[in-house]
Amino acid sequence: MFSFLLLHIPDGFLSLSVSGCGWLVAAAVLAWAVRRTSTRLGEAAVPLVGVLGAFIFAAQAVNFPILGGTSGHLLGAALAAILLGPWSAVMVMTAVVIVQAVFFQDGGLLAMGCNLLNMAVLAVFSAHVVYRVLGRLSPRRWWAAVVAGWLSVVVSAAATGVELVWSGMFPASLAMPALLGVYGLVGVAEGLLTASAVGFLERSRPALLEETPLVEQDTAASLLTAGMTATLAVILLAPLASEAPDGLEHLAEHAGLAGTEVAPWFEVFPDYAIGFLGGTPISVVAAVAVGAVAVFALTSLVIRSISGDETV
Amino acid sequence: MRGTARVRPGLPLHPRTLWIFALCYIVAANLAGGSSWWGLVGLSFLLVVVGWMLSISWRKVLRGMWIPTPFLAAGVAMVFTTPGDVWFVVPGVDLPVTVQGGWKYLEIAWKVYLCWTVAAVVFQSRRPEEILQGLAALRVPAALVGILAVMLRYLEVLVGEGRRTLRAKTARTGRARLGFRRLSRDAWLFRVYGALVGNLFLRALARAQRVHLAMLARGYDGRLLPSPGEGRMTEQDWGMVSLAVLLPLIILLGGGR
Repeated sequence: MFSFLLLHIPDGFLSLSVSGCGWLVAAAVLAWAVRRTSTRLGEAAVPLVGVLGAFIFAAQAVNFPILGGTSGHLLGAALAAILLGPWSAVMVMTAVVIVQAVFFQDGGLLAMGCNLLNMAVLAVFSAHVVYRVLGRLSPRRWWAAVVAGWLSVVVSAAATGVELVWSGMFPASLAMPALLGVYGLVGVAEGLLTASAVGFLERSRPALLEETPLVEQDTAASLLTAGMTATLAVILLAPLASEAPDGLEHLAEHAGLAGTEVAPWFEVFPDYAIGFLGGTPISVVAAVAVGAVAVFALTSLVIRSISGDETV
Repeated sequence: MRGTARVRPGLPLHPRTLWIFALCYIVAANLAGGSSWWGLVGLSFLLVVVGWMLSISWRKVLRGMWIPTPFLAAGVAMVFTTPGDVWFVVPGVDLPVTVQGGWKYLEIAWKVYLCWTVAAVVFQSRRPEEILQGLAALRVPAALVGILAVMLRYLEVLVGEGRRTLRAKTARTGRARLGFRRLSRDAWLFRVYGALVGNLFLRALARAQRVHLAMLARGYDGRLLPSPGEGRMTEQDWGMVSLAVLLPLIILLGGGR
């Protein structure tokens, strides 16, 4: 039966630069996740996370039949984020993606960085943040779980689309609507299934959703990570930015002022590109990344100096 | 010998060597193509030789070759979207197939299957624990390797549990499909599947806690696998690693990108 979750990108589809960027980001987040889970849970909790990784894998085996002889299955990132907290969920989803790629050859080795970024990082953190924020707005968790499940699949599919477009496989005008259209629907099933599972646990073992041994309550750190993940997504999207003039430039062109501006005496990254890298996507991403880091460092310094708090 | 299958022992390479070879080979395959089709031909030949050296079962490898097919099926769109000279127009839908699109798709399909097959050949030539030891030898964090080891150990148990639960559900509720047509029935089906997954989580959690306590009682300290230092790299390993590292360079020098 044809399965509806085609998010495991095989090797050969992504360019080396995209695969390399995916690996860099995924490895950085994973290293942080290993550190967090090791300090929070202790090295000895490895079996706990391992068996729960096997649970997500087994849950993916629960294929539910859909219209027209096809079937779908759970991605599981939202469920893992809700039940285990974001860092443990990143570890669990990472283990699942690695096992699928290495022992079942589902997903590539070089493409694994991007697959981890899509399914173990972006999906988990988007689901976690949405579930937490919506969960605070209403005591009824099920609709927060629906949105979290839906978003995890859509974000994962969008990231897959961006990586394929960035690798020059498909034009954005084809890949993004197709992927978001299909996975927007698949996400509904993921959301309903996640909400049903959370509803079942709420009825049978409510304590698990209040405070499981693996749930991390450090919301500030989670929000920081969510912000960094969102920034990262924007950085990766930067090469796809429209080349049309912005509002001010458009107005200047209409008013006949274009070309009369005074050139700056010094430019660090003209046109959001690094000189020696040319106008390549890597150049744009590197320039935007450097800018983002500079803004983050500057903001941190300002906040520290205002608050006098060393823990920012 | 009559009655027993003849098994030719494969080249006894260190698992670390296998990882390095697979990764370098995949990088080389990604660099090949374009103006260096000979690179893809050479890599295909090398793959057959390595498969023979590792004594893998080609039948077992080929059985799984459907796995990347859905992705490749979705990739067919590139024969229409790649700009270039029109080769022919699909009758009925008036979609032009370009020559450049056709070649690009052929090249990608070839690369996808090469990369997929090298992973299958290399990782099916050893037991999973050995593959994980290779990962540990490459200095992957012990916590992650440990999680993978436990996951593999309990994978079959929990997947089996999931399938049994699903069979029990089918026995009780039949094979109703989610058609998004009758909302009340579909909502009920989602609740049923959600309860299955929730139930599976509870069973997994109970088992995880038992495993955790049992391992702590046996003095477990976070390390699951023996140190990978025992297996030394032989001359064959160094030869294979050298070949692996040279592969991308050869492709690059031969006009790869």
